Amino acid sequence: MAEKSLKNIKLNSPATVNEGEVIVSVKDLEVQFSVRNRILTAIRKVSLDIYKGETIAIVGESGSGKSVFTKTLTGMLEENGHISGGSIEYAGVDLTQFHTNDDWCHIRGKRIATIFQDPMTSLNPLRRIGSQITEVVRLHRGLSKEEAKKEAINLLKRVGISDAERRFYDYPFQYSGGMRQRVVIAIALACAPDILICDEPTTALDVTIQAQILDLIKELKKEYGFTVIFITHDLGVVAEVADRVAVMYAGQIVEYGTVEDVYYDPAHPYTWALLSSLPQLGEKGETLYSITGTPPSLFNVVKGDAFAPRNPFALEIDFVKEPPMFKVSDTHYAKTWLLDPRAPKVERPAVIGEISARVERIYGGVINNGKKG
Amino acid sequence: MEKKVKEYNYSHPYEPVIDETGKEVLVDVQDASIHFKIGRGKTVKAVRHCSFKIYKGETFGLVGESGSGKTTISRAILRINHLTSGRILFHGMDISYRKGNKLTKEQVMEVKKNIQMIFQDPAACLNDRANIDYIVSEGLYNFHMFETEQERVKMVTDMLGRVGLLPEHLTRYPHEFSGGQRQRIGIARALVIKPELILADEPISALDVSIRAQVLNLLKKLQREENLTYLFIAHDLSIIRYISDRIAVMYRGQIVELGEAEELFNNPLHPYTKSLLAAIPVPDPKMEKNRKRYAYDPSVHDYSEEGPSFVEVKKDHFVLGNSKEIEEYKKILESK
Repeated sequence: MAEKSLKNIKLNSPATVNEGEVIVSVKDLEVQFSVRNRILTAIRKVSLDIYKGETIAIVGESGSGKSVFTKTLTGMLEENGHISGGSIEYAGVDLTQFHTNDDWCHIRGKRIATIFQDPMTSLNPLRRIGSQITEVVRLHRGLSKEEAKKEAINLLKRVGISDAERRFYDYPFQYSGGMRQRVVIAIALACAPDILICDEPTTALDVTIQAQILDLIKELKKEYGFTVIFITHDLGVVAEVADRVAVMYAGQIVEYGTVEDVYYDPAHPYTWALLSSLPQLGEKGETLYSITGTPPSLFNVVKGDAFAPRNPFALEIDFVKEPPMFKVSDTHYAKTWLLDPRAPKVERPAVIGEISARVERIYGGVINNGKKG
Repeated sequence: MEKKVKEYNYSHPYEPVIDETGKEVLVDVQDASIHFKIGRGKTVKAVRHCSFKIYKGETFGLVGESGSGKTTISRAILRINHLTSGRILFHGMDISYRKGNKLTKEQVMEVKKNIQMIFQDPAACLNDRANIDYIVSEGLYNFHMFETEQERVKMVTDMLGRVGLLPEHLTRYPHEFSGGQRQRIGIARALVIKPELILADEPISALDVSIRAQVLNLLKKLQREENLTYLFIAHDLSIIRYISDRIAVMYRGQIVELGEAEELFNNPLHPYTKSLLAAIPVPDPKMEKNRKRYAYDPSVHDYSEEGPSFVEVKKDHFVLGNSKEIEEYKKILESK
């Protein structure tokens, strides 16, 4: 690449930001990919503040841009993609200026770490587990070989791998799926990052193992005090881990707020659709609500509200003009014309508003049983 | 060389098998075990002494973690996996793929026609080089189910219509479709030859959230229309609850608990079932934040003196346990 690496990158120390203050501020971010000489706009003017110490979940269907959005934080966009507008403020610098791997070395892995869905895409199958952890510790923290080994074994123990001294010398194939994910978490923790991005970390795992990994992430978050950005499409998982939720659709955030805001009082029709189509909430013999059609192609300029063609509640203006972010409460915002004072009142789907009651009816007994056991 | 085309008679040759509950039994798995040799004299006991019945017209859910043997047992019903012991009856006929049980070619064809499968990954289970017309018709060719070309085209387009696809899709190839549409093609391909039993192996886990509801609705609609029987395999109990009439929970090759869906959710008895239920992520932040997990520890069972057996503790509710545990389970049920 022709770009030169930036000289004198000075990042503020993580300690300068207090709990609850803005740690990352994304403004009007736009990301484009060039695919066979056509421009695809994957992220269309997204603004979001992330606060230190919180867990923010980003939900949406595949192709909504949730992974692309978080990849911009660590400079891991694919070759054909670039940030075409906006800014990402972190630790006193604008990350959109970063271009080379040398620049990103200050951030990636060290300050912002990522855990991916499939642990085998992160682990090298030909190298022992131990050496993959010590590599990170030695590179970023400059420990000696002996110290690094000690640290790696500590980390393995910390993420719940028993008999860590012996398993230090195992290869990834000797570990089960859940344990591999634990190792990836150990590697991510090795540099005590400021922000941990979890990109669908439990989608490939069994339900019981998923529960263990989620608990582990929560525990470690308490201990290390990092901020978590959690990408998932499972609204059950979101309810469990997140403090705040951002719902993405067609490259934009269409609604965000605290989990309570989004689950108990959702404002955007897309959020309504996502929640009411959950099989978890379905009653036997009742047809599930389903979203018809497909998301718009992001090769074209989207006119109006991107969700309008699939939205039974769409107003005429939705096809003409893009809605702004309306404020519902201090913590809750949604991008839909339905919140405009001039909009007609619409009846939300039946499931919305009675989620708690349904969950209690269906799962109440089960979860109490779990407590007794 | 001219191939001899043999005509098969696919009319229903079976007498319905009615069990003591008065329901028609479609599949009866009796004490089935499946072991795999993995070399150096070692064997893996993938399925150990499993017994269950699938009634006609119901949806039978099979849950368990990966490696618990749920796919293995379903493949044995389809005569892909060899049974080590036990037997599998279909309409009362022993169809198990096992030494000493020889079926005639007609019988094998009959079984294959009546039991079809829907797979997890709709991208992997369709032939990339074949168009939709051929993919959906393949079964019709194999089972000589049409007289004229027009008849075949009509059968295929009808089927596509019923799964929500259009006739113009016939000439297209799998890569031109989205995940949800591909799963519809997989369903059309399985249903076009009018099977009685569908083995659905995690049919929605690879799909996007917004499409899952569509596919589940479609499966339900087709079941009503055709009186289909489903064996629905999943690792997610919350989806199984919505779709199934009865649920069997598998753990390490054994069925540990079996019962009606509501019963299992209201009165789970086996500690493994409880731990599975406790792990379901529910879409309710308040409940999620206050809940406690419950991990299953197989060492809670003391089977040193007496091994476990599969016992009916309440009508249609079976649990695996030894006589001491069964007594406890019965007490729990009575106290409710």
